Amino acid sequence: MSPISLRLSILSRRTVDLIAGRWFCATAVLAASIVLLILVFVVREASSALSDIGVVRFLTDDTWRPTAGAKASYGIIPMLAGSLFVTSGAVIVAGVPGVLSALLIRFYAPPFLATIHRRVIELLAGVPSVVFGFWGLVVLVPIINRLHPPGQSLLAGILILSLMILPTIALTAEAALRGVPASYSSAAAALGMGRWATIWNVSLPVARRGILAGFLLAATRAIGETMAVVMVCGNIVQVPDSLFAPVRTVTANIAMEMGDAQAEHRSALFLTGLALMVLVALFLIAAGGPRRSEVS
Amino acid sequence: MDPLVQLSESVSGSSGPVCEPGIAPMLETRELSVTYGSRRALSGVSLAVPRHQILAIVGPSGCGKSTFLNSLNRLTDLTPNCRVEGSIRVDNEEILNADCDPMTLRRRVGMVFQKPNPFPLSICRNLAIPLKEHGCAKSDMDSIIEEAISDVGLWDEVKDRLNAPALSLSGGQQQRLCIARALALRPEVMLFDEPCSALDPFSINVVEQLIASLRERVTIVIVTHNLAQARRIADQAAVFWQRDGVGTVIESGPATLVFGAPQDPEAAAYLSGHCC
Ligand SMILES: Nc1ncnc2c1ncn2[C@@H]1O[C@H](COP(=O)(O)OP(=O)(O)OP(=O)(O)O)[C@@H](O)[C@H]1O
Ligand SMILES: [Mg+2]
Repeated sequence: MSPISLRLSILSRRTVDLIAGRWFCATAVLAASIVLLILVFVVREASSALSDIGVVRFLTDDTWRPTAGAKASYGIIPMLAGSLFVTSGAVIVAGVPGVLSALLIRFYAPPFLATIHRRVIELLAGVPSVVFGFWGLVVLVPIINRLHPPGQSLLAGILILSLMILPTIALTAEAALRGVPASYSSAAAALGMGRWATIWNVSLPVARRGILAGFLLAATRAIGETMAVVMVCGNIVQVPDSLFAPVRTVTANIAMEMGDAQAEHRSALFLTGLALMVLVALFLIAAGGPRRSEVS
Repeated sequence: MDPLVQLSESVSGSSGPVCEPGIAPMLETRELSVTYGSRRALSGVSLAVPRHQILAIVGPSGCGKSTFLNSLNRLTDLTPNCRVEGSIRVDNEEILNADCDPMTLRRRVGMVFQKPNPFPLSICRNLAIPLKEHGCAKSDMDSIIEEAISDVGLWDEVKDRLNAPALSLSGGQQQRLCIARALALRPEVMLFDEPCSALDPFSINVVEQLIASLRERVTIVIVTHNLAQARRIADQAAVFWQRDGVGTVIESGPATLVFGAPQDPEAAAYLSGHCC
């Protein structure tokens, strides 16, 4: 190639890089500013509740009764507790079977069975949450009711949510395990290590970060889930004292009350939404913290 | 008694003078052939390696050297559709029989790959995991690990950071760690598949001398593209070649004869560097 045409092709490649770089940058800025806009909007809507009622009452009032006029109370702790219990319960319940089905797909099932299993999981991911809720209401809740009334309960919420996040956990874990280089498994095999020893000592530790990222994704999905939770959890504002107690989550509360909320009440609902966002953000920061220090 | 300790005694007990002719070889293949699905990769390979000697395998790319090596510890089992036929005897025991347990076999026949492949865990865990898997007692673990790492000349370099990630080592150090990991299991045979080709010249030298010194303890099969290296360390040599698309051995025997006076014209051309 002559020097001139060489330089031309480099130049044009640089232009392409430049345009691509600008484009990606613009997309990133757009995405970030939409999130920021939503945050600004929520803060603005919540601001009158913040200034008139005050954060202290939100954290110390013992129940949520925003429409009781002079005796109104604005405690969000029971609902935050509801959200946290439902979410952590669902992640715990879905975690083990999720990772196990990833291991099944990856290491144990013959190819056609692995494909079928994966398809079923993907199908599960495609079920709308209202369908989960409906199924929970007509099948799961009566069963729990027979064990311990009323049936609509923390337990029902946990079980339904765990079904909903199982695909997230299983598919991300499977992708993480697929990312473990084959050279590690042949090294393990050449050392006479069995399949389970290889999985336990090598594959899982190597894929750990990806698997945990899946748990995180699943948890954020669960904490934000609304429809199914409204249908099966019973929606009584209380810190649950057992798995069979009804609970109301922050999201369920917003969905149920936003329609006819006025003034102070409306603003207070935005504040509960803001509290949930802050909680999720803190959660993500806490989960990201060790990752950063691990790299260095 | 601990099986590992027992084994190490039986290995060291039989060391000493290199075996005389007439004694059964440590490793022997007869009419070995390997097919991947319907495609034959290797046929009619009959080779023998006396105890405590090094067999160097050379030959052009794609002639089945790695395939041969992988069949010696039945790593070929991991490739679907891969079929191995013929006979492979390790210390007079047929390993292609159904009753031979591949896990136990692979402890006895260690392998080191072309690209260093330590687990992305700590230096110490790299050795501890396989040891534990083969039933090594916790109390013996530390001394076995120290011994294996010392054997590959890595102890002084890593003794202060046994808990550091193995991937923080240099390429040459990683390869020596992989050798240590295999040695810790006290194998009787070690297979090396181009162990130096991903290393810098200095590390090549270190690893090559290490392999040569291991001859006192184990029987070795090494695949190498470096003819000079093969000449330096081999006791036995074999030249693999592709005939009609199928890999086979065209020249084999004591290294001095193979390199000094090869009978096969193609092997002679290849070994003198006048080829392809
Ligand atoms: N997993 C596999 N599936 C199908 N064919 C294979 C597989 N591995 C190797 N082969 C084929 O077997 C033949 C021998 O391959 P092999 O890797 O043993 O060669 P090699 O002598 O080690 O080559 P190199 O010097 O490049 O490492 C090649 O033609 C290759 O295409
Ligand atoms: Mg090869």
